[in-house]
Amino acid sequence: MNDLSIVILLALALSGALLWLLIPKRKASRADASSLHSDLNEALPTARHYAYFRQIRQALSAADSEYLVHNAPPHVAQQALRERRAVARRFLMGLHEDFSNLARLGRIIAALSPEVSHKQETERFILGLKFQILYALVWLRLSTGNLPLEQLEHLTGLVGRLAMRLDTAMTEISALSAGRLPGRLGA
Amino acid sequence: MRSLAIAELCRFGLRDYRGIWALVWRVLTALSVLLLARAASDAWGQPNRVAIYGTTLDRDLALASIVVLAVLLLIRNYYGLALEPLQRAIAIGICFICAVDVIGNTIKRELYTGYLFGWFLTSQKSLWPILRPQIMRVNDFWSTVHLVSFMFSMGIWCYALRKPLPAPSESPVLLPANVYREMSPAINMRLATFNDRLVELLKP
Repeated sequence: MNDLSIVILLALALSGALLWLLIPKRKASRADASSLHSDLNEALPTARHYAYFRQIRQALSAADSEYLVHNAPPHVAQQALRERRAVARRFLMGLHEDFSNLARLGRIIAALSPEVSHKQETERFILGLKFQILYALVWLRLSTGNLPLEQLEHLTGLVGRLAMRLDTAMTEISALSAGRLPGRLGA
Repeated sequence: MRSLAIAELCRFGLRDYRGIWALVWRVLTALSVLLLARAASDAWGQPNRVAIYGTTLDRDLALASIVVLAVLLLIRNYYGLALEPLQRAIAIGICFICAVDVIGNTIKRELYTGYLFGWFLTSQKSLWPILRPQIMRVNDFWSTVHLVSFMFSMGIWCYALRKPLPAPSESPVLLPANVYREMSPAINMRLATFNDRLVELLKP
């Protein structure tokens, strides 16, 4: 490929990306705007999926798997394990959403802060990238059956603690920002 | 003018968010300086002919404009600060002109440094009468394309400006500085712990 093709392709790709960025994402924009117009707690549910933690833990427990393998006919056990993996994947997606909400909270606080630390912002950006890669790997391993379901328990435990701390933080920020929020962030 | 418009687009709406503006202007300035230096060095490396030098510089500056705009929009999207419709239309117009400039100047430069290079060499004077109409055709064609793209962008801007401009919105009232100082490290620590657990999950 010569210089001509490379530059033309680069220009087209960059312009395409730019136009894509310029297309208003109605859903996202509304969410951002509402997150600052109304109650922060409502707009940024940080641990929506954690509410199902107990049911998920039960569904993923090793005891349940063993019981199925030993007592159910093989095809039923296989079917059940497949479905459990599907549930685990959906739950993982939920945890992804919880993580994203936490990161978004961090960005909103940064946007509304009179001074930010470039170190903190860079760190959060890198953490977000790292999470996306790790999430994709965990997803892949879960889908191929290489990840024991019980290991997800540790993760859900973490999210649970995160949820509690975050709820407290959200309440504090809501109190601090009551009546002080900007009119059109994300408009 | 284009650079000024892009600078104003960068400043618009972000300067009210003092914290991230202080961060963003440094990032964008560093990026612009880097891209300008790259454009200058690229043009410097060209054969010593004003037309080729100018075409290369034009192309690289247009490319730099697209990159700066893209980075600006990425940052704005990252922080959830979308552009308003008018500014968005201005950005689309600039992006279109720049994309056409990059493509057109690249093709023109390839012709100048390749097939039409004899036009710039006194040793090839005998070829000038043959090359002259071709050079004129290239320049005319490129001028027409450039003009049409500019008119198209102008159309986008006029359409965006068909209604009176809305009253400037109020500046946001920012949170106390200590909220960020306390919350940001805590949030990052939590995010890091989350990643650590994912790493643990992946360990054999």
